[in-house]
Amino acid sequence: MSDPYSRLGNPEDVISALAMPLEGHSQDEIVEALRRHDVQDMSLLTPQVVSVRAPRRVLQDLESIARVEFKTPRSMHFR
Amino acid sequence: MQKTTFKLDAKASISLNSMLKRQVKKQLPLMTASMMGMTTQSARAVRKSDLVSVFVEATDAEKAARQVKNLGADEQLVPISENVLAARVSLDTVRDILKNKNVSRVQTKKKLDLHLDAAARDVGLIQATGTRTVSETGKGVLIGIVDSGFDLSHPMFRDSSGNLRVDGLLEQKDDQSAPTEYDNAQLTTGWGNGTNPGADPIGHGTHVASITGGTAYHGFEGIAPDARFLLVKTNFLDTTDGAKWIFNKAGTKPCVVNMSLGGHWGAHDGTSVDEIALDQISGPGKIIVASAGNEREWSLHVGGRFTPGQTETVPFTVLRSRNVPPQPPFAPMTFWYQQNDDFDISLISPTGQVMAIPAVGSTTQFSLSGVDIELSRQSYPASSSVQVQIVLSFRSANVSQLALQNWKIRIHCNTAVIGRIDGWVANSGMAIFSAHPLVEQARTVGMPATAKSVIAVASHTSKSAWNSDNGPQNDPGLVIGRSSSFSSLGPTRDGRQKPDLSAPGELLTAALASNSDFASELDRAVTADRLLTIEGTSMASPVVAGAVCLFLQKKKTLKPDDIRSILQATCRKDLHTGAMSWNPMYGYGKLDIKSAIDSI
Repeated sequence: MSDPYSRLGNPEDVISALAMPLEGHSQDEIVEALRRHDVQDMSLLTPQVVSVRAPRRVLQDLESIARVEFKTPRSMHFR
Repeated sequence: MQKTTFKLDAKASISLNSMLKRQVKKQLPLMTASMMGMTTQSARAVRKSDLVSVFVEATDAEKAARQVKNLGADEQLVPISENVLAARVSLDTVRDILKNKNVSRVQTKKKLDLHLDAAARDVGLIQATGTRTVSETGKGVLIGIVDSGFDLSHPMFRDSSGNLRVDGLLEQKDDQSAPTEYDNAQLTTGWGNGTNPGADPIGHGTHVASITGGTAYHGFEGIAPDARFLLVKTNFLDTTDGAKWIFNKAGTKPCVVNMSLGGHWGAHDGTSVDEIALDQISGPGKIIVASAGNEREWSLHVGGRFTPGQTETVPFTVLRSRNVPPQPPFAPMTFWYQQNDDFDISLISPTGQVMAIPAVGSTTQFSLSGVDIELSRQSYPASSSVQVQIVLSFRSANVSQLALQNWKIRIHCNTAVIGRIDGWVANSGMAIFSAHPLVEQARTVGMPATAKSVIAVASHTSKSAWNSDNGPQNDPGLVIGRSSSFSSLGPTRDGRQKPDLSAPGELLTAALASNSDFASELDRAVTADRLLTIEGTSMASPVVAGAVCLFLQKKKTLKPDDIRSILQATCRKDLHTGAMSWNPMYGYGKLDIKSAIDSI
C-alpha cells in the first residue's frame, strides 16, 4: 500500500504527519511520547500542532492522545 | 452632408480596411496609427513611406514574398511559417499584397498585452495612462511564496542596482531530509557561482512570485514591486511548515504568504489539523492567500442529499500517471457525512466484485488482480462527521485500460438526519467520476483554501492574446471578465463562502524560469525575453497576495477577518458576477485594489 493514504501500510514506513492534542491532552504529552520512541524529526508548528516524521506504528500509537493526520501531497494550480 | 463609400477588401482585416480608408481620406490620427503598429512622424500626413506591420496568410508564404515587387528600402517581408509572412510594409504594398491570388488574408499586428498590464488594469491598479492608482508599493512588507522554486537570476527578483530582493530562502527536500536555509548573502553567492539554491525546474514558483512582487521588467511590474521576498522551495508535503518558517523569519514585520497549491484529501470544512495550523499561524499582519483550485471541470467531486432507502451508483475511471517514468495508477478518495446519518458504501470492481466499506473504526484490505484496495471508515469528531477512505493502488504502470475503467461507488442511505454525503478524489489526475447526477462542480474549492483564515482566490479572464516563441497567440474562446472555466466553485462542505473573491488568473504573463519545464512550451514562453504566459488559480492568488501586501503597507496590523471585510465591501460587481453579495464562482466579486486601499 502506498503511504501516506494507507492505514494498514508497512508499520515501519516513515510518514510525515501533523499531530494535535485530543481534549484533555497537551502538546507536551505528544512531544514526550515521540521522544520515548526516539523520534527526532519534529517541530512545534503552533502552540498546539506538532509537525513530525516518524514510523507509521509510532504515529498510530500517538492516536490515543492526539489527532494525527498524515500530510498528503499538494498540487500546483496551473493548467 | 457628403457621403463617401469605400469598398471593403474581404481579405483584409477590419482594422486594415480602416487604415486603407483613412489613408485615402488622409485622416489617420496619430493615436490610431500608433495603436495599429504604424510608424508615423506626423499623423496629419500619412505618406506612402509610412510602414504598417501585418501578418499575411498565403498558400505559400515564400512564393507570396517573392511575388511582391519594388519593395522600399525599409520594407520587409519575412516568412515565419509555411503559410504566414510577417511584413512591415507601406499601405501601397499592402494593396499589392491583397491583389495576390496566393494571399488569403492580411491582418494588422495588434499591440499585444505582453505583460501583466491587463491584469493590473482589471484590478484597478493601473490607469489607462499606465500610472498606478495607489501610492503603496509594498515597501516594508514581506511576501512569502511557498512553491516549486525560484529562478533568482531573473531581473524581476533584483532591485534597480541588481541586488537580490530576497531576504531568505528555505529549500525543502523531496526525501524530507532537513531543509536548507539560505540568507541573502548566500543566495547572492549561490546565484553568482552557478549552484543556484532553490532553483525552479518547473517554472511555476518563479511565475507566481513575480506576479506578486516582481521588479519592473519589459514593461511588466508585479503588484507590490517594493516588497521583499521570503521564499520556500517546497517538497509539496511540508507546505504549512514552509508558511510557518516564513512568518518566523518575518518576525514583527507584516507579511503575506501565497500558496498556489492544494489538494482534496480532507473534510473540506476547515477542521483538518493542517487548516487549523494555518489558522493559528495567521493573525495581525500575518495573512495567507491560497488558490481556490482548478477542479471545476475535473469531475473529482460527488455530493448530494439522500433520503432513507435511496441508492445511487457512480462509475469512475482511474487515470494513468502523468509522471515520467510512469508510476502505477493510484486513486485515493474520501467520503464524508454527518455522524447522525448512516450510509452503506461499497466499491465495485470492473468485474463486478462488491467490496463493502467496513463499520466505523475498521479497515479492510482486498487484493484483486493487479490492484490492492484498502477501505476504511473512521469517526471524525472535529466536525461530528464520519470519514470513509477508499484507496486503489495498482501494482504496475503497465495496466490495461479495461482494468482502469468501470469502477463504481455504490451509496445506500439507511438513515438521513441531514442525509448529505460528499466525496473527493485526493487530487486531479488520479481518477474521474463519470456523468451522474451526484457529480458536482460545486464544493470543488481545495484545501488549504477551505481553511477559515485563508483568503481563497478564484480566477477570471483578463487577457486572451499573448506573445510566444511561436509568434502571437490567442484563444478566441476566452471572454474577458468571465470566470475561468477551470476555477473551482464554492461553497465549502460546511457551507462557508469560499472562494472569497476572484482575480485575473487566466493568461497572465510574468517571469519565465530559464531551463524550466515551461521554457520548452514554445506556445507560451518568450525565452529570449524570459516571459511566460499561463493560466490557473495559481496565477490569480498571487495577484491578491500582492494586493494584501499593499493593504499591509497601509495598515500593518490587519487580520485575516479584516482583509475579508475589506474585500467584501470593495470587490467589484459587474455583468459577469451579478449583484449578489457572494456567489460560488466569484466570491464577493472581483478584486479592486484602489477601492480596497481607499477603504483602509
